[in-house]
Amino acid sequence: MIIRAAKLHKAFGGHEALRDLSLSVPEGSAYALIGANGAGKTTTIKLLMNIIQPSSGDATVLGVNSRRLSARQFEQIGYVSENQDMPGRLTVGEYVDYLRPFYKTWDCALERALLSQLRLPMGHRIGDLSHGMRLKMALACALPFRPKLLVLDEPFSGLDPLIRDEFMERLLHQAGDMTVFISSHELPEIEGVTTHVGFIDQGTLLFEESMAELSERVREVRITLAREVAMPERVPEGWVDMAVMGNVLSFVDTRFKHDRLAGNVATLFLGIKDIDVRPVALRSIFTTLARAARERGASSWSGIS
Amino acid sequence: MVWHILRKDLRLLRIGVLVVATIHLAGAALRSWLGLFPEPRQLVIVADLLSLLSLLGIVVLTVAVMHEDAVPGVRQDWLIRPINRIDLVFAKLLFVMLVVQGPLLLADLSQGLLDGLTFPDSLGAAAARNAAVLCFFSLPALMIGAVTRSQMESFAVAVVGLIIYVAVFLLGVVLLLGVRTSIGGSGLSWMFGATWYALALVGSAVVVWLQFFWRKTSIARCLIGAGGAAIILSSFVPWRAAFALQERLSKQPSSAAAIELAFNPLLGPFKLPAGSAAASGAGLYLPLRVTGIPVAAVVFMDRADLRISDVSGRTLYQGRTNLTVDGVGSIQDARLEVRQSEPGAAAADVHQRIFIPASIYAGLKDQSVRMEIDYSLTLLRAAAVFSLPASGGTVRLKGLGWCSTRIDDDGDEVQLRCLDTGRTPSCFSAFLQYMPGSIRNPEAHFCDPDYTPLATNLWPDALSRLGGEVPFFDRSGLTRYPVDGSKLADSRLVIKTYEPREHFMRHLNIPAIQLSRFAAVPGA
Repeated sequence: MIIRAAKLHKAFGGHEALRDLSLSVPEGSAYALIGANGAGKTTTIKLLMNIIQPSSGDATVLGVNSRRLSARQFEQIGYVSENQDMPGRLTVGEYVDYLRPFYKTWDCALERALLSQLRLPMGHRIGDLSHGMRLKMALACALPFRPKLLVLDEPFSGLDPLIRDEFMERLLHQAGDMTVFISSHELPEIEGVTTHVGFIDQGTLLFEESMAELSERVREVRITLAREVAMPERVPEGWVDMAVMGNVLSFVDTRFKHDRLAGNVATLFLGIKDIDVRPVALRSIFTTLARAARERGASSWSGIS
Repeated sequence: MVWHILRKDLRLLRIGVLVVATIHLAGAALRSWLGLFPEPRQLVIVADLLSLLSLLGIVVLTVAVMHEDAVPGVRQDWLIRPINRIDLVFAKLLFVMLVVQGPLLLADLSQGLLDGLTFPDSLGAAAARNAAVLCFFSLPALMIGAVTRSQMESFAVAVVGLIIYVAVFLLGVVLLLGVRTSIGGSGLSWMFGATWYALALVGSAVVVWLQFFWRKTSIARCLIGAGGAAIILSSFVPWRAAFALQERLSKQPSSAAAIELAFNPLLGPFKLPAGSAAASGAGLYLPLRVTGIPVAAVVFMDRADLRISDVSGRTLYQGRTNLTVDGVGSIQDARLEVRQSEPGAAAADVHQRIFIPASIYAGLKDQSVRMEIDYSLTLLRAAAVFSLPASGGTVRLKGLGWCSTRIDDDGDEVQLRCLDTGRTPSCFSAFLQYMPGSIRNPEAHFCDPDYTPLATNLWPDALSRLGGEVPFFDRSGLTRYPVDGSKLADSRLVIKTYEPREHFMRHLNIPAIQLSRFAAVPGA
């Protein structure tokens, strides 16, 4: 694992930002930490990058305790954040010139290619750049040394769609073997690149698994019955977001297995005319699970994960 | 990478660096141009303003360079870059030493050279001031810069610190509680500066370590606050402890062993000079006889602590002889300098002015009370004698530097000004001597002791100055001077400097005294 966190806990005064968060990011993966605003994504990343210290628990990044991360590790870590303060009075060119000597593996050809492809104005002061340009600048400064780990903290926040696409295109182009750890609530943008996902809500990691497993086990189910149906009083574990409309019952099965679904439906309903099972987009999975979690309360989260 | 980071900071702050360097150089050039008798007054004010701006510039630049890679906060880009923290710290320190303080060193060096002082002397003085500015201004600014994110935040910290200082220290402790600083205004006040230097050195090392390697901003801020409080408290250090330390630093221990003070009622009450205002009822003039003063020496009273008690030993009043709790008194008026009245004399008789609060004095003045005084004294001995033409002479005197004399605008005093590097004597006397004969005027004494072991000058520049006015004509006609204006052309100004040899204490016990008997009486 390139990142491993064990029972990370962080409190700011009386507010618990993270509660015993544990996660594992496999090497070479594209791990998305998803969650609503204020869920604890940025706090997690800042703890992992040793920008803030945990109240308890620990984490390792590139095999090193996150609290002991040094220049040697940061030479292999690219970091892009929506709220990254770069020296605003330096020009883009001056800042790239400044950063270059700190990285032994800095690839000047790649740097030139990135700067050109991202159309960054070399002579402009960083402070005069737009938010989108600054994010592109941060990306341009995070990739030329071919990092082993690329950490992206809400990289799409406030970006217009065109720049988002451009950003992702560059990122995918350069990704290669690097591990990408991305936090975002902009799910459509990351769906195509993510191999693993962790879902954080109110400082607690509710689940983490590979995208393949997640999309395999979560299905949108639509059952058409012969006659009108009432909402069943008890439903199998894992069925969430249930809705009834006439003779049609729909829900999301978060523990989908074809045989089990068929058995459960047959036990609960008579006169089944049709069962339609469809895969669910990451955005829908996230919103469904988040809604279900809030309706059920965190204690009963285990029922849907 | 140290130079690489330094170059980045220089690129970002180059305009500020140039402005501050220009201020240093302009100030040095102006002071040099103003010379030994700086005039006109408006230009002196400009020179002082430039000195102030120069120091302010150093503070602002130091804070600014720290903010280029601010430590507090979670959004700075450098936090996730492979920037070695040691390199970063050294880059910042080097920037302060070379870029911020370097131009000041050059300006001070240039000023010394322009003023005709030698290169080694000028360089030594400039380096000493540079070290003092580093400790007094740059390191504290570096600490503030390390625990703040912006100039505005630093400014707010400075303002809050000033408000706390004024509210708690000046208003609360000094005005409301009546607590006086112990060493302030005395020759021991260098201890306050020394504490500042020591705390700045240790404090900046600790704060930089805490911030750059552990990023413990809250702890670092608390430490800075505690350091500030410790510096303020250092001026309240018990006098006995401070003077004991000063005694240990005496250059010539036991040289004052023979000096004794005794109550000398036979000297009678002090007679005020003719025409002077009636004496305050709150003060008395204690007649003293001082014996054992070596030849060519001065005994200077640094402080005297008074205790008045009744016959049963109950304390009726306790305080310093120069200042009272209700603000009555004056350090200058209560000074006591004792010299031999004439060479070879066995003793010197003097009146010591003692201030007592009016209400206490009114209640005690006609009673027979016991009086005890603990004197903290310093023996100063003549170190060197210099002379230069009484008027219009500009000469280089080894030990005093470049000295010049001129007659003042009123035409009744000879003005003396000297400019040197290092530490100038804080005690000297001067008199006019008519050279064809042995006629001479009475000595004028100038003593403002400073026992600092540190040979540095912080304000307004790196050079030390000595000066005084020696009268030769009294417009009221009360005093006639043997060497008057008509003889000045053939006269010389003779200067005697004194150096502290031993700091010592004496205890005076007067079993029974009636205070009213020693109030001043009008002169004839």
